[in-house]
Amino acid sequence: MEELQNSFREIGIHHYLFLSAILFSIGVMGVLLRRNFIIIFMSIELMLNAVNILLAAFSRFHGDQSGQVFVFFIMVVAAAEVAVGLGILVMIYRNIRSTDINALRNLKW
Amino acid sequence: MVLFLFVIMLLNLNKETEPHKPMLLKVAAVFSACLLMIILAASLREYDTRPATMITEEFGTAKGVGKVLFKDFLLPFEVASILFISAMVGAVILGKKHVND
Repeated sequence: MEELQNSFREIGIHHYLFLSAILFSIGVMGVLLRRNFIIIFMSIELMLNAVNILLAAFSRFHGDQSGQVFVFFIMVVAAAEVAVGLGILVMIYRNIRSTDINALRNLKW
Repeated sequence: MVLFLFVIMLLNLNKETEPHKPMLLKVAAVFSACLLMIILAASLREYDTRPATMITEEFGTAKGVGKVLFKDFLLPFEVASILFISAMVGAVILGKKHVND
């Protein structure tokens, strides 16, 4: 425990902030760059997890454990979202036989 | 993550079916994502860097987090369990093969 605290003190919060910013940007890039809906979904997961890192770092920095509980809740909601979302994606794939999101623009004006 | 692997296996994707965006859109996507990263990093750079607050012995352990989770966040915890069950049922119904139609 003492060792863990010392390593936290050495690293500092800025590193966590930048790591989280970089991960979030990679997620945004994945959403913008790819047309495969599975990869877009994975990128959304990456963005959620970047926010998780940020919450855990701030929780430690301010000495408030509520942040870590929030990480739990984000994980639960993300898991539910992935389960339903992937179910929908598999159903879409069965209907259109492709993973291209450009095939799904019936709602586009 | 395991779910993603299962779905990729289920859909049996390969390189030929992989859709691609036009080059111009790709460059624009990378450019805007880099811009976002720069803006995020610049806004976070000014964050106050006081030394981290001293923490108690229980901080971050199963005991400490569990106490917060089951005292302050008991209702959200229960609501999350209901959400989880409904998501599970929804996923099963969505994933079921329809034989009749």
